Amino acid sequence: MQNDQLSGLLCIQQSVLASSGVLQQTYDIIVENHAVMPQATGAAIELIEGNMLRYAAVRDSRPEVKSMQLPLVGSLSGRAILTGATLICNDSETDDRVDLEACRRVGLRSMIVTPIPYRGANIGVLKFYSSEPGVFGDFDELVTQLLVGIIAAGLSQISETEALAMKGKLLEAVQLKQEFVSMVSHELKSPIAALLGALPLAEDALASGETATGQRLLAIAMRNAERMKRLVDDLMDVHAIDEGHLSLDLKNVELSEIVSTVLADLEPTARSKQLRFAVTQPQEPIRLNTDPNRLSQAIVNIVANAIRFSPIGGIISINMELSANQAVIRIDDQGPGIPEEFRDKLFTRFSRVAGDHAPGTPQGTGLGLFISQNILHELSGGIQLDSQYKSGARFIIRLPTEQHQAGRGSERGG
Amino acid sequence: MKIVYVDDDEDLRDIVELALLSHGGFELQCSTDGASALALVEQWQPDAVLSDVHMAGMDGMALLAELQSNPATARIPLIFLTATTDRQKRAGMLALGARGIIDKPFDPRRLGEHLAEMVSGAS
Repeated sequence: MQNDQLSGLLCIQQSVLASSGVLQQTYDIIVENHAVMPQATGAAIELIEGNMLRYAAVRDSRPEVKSMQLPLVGSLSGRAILTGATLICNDSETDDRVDLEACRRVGLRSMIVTPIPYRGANIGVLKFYSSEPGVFGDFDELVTQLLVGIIAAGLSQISETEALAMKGKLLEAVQLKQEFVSMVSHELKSPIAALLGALPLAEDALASGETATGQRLLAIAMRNAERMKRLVDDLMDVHAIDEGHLSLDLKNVELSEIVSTVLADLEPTARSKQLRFAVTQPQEPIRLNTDPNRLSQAIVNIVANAIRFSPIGGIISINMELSANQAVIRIDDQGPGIPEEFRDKLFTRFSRVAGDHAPGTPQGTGLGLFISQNILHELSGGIQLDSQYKSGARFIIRLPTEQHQAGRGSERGG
Repeated sequence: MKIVYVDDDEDLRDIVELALLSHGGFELQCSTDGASALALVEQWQPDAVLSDVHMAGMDGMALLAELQSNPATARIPLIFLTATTDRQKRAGMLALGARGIIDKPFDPRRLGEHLAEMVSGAS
């Protein structure tokens, strides 16, 4: 029998080596191998979860065994974990170290349990059991210890994989940061180039009495100074988002008032492209407990994009409604829509689609949608692009209404 | 000297136009992206193309490659006007066959002179 057990052990070793290194596979290979412990009627790998032991793998056809949990204290498995020793129970009916009730429930009379070591502690056990008493001996103890060695090797391999993944993530973060800095400098250079280009020419034009040209150039300088300001403001917000402290000042407000203010601010830009805002809202006011300035900022970014991409003379529709305790704001434009290949990147920083530099409208910083999404998220809402909408771009903003939010608040408190 | 200037930034197009006009001796036509520049260059046959690099859609590098692959435009020199400081990228632009690079920000009072030198200089 010992030769058969060693063959089983070899077979397990080979299967584990040939497997993809996923730990669960190793567990399954071990418990499923009958030859390695032929006298056992079942095998299991139990891992600590809180103060219980849960089956990570089991060979037993009975469903009540598969879903079994054992207490850490008062079971032989728990004792093996705490003492670090392989323990054999020859008869559960007379052995006071075992959870007799659990053993009777699954018809277990004898067992051998070996702790699984990982980083200086035992994280679970490998257990073989039988419905007959006294079937495990000293040689079985050796076999189980060899098997546990295979599991421990798998575990340390996993931690190495984890370390590599962590390193990869760190490198990726550093690279993202570098890309961000490079993008920011590039984005700042465009308005700086316009400023440094426009100002000397304005000076020359004004000195030679070409007032109209001088004024046109000063307007360019002004526009680009504002663009730099917008970019810096946006960068501060991105920084606050990254640090997780976007400041919020919650007030009880009416949604339509916020939307009206946003549209009034953007009206001059819209007029320059002969665009019209079509606003629809329910008769009942939609009240929100939100940060009006941040919400305005989030909506401005979306409407400003709609203006930027709208054809001259187009209509931008803003629809507000209450739906399932949520305030829903739908913003539609008649522009070219968002190209499919760009949709994944839509809410990431410095993402831009072609045509962003439309004449007559302030240039985007490439941060607007990223900021809007994060603000709305902070306000317990969200934003999405309606990919079904084909006549332009449609963004849908959802926010909890006052009542809904109050309800959630008390849930949290309780 | 006929120049096609390609940049998606409206203000910079205005500035370059004014800078070259005040310098004198330049005729300028502008494009907002690589794709529309291709047709303009082929049809108008300028003495040189001045182009931004970073543009949505067809960028400056793609424009350069396209111009070079078309016999009708292959001999027209292209000069990049760019904010890129990345050495590798700059080396790549020249290796691809760009005639030269003018940095953004640029001195508008010297742009015409600088450009004329590059166009007539190395062949």
